[in-house]
Amino acid sequence: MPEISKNPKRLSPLENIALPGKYGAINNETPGVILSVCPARSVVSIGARKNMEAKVSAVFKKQYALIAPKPGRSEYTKNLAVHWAGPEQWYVITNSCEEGTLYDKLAKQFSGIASIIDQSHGRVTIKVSGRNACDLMAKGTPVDLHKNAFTKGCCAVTEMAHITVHLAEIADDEFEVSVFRGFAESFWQWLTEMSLEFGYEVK
Amino acid sequence: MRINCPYCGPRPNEEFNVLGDATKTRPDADKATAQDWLDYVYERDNPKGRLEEYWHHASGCRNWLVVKRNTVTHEVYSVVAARDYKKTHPEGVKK
Ligand SMILES: [Zn+2]
Repeated sequence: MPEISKNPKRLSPLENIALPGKYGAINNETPGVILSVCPARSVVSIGARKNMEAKVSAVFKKQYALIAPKPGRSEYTKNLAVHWAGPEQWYVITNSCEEGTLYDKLAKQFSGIASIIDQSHGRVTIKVSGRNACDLMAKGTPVDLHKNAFTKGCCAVTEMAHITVHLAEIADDEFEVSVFRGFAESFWQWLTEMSLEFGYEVK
Repeated sequence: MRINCPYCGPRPNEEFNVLGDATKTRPDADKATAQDWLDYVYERDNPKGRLEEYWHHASGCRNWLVVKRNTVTHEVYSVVAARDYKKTHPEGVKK
């Protein structure tokens, strides 16, 4: 019988695939793109029930002192990111608690007014930065990423390489792109191939 | 063809799935005859020109939309979330 670990560790599907190093057309310059797989985090989706949007907004305000993000917007607190994910739907993300804790907390706070689902194991997020980060993202999505249209605090649900992604600009020219776990490897393949021309570093 | 999603803004049609004719209203289950069901489930016109269709923004907000468009020119006249359309057209979409 196989021995079962007492402290199971969450393994990223990109564990032995996203290997640190420099690749592509780097020459003597710094890489145009920096990719890093975000460490295992808590991702919980919130979907307001019928006619409960105002109540859900009130809980966001009372508990987290933030406005429930409008379409295409994200809000950040010290420990949380809240992204719009569809009409009356949001993702709440944190790095700063034990697995399951965020879900338990939100399930209580939004009890009866929203459906709360823990997606922590279901999604893989990759951080994309560097001077060509925007160029790289623009190769994948039809969303207008020009500075006048898409800036820090914007997000979108869209498609890259036929894979549905959630894209958020978390700082100037710094993106987080998240995909379903099962698509992570194909997505990584596309992302790295598209990064070759800029030169990229995996951190 | 570009569809201006009321939630996501203009997106190309590869982000959407099409369901088809939005002018059909589901028959009353208690009163409908076999002919009513046949019309609702199978009978479709194939109009040249204006058309109202359900589209699903699958790789986006995952919402159903009612899109009025032209099958010849691919011009899109209007896009409304299906749930909002129902509010203003309680009897269903009429031709
Ligand atoms: Zn949409």
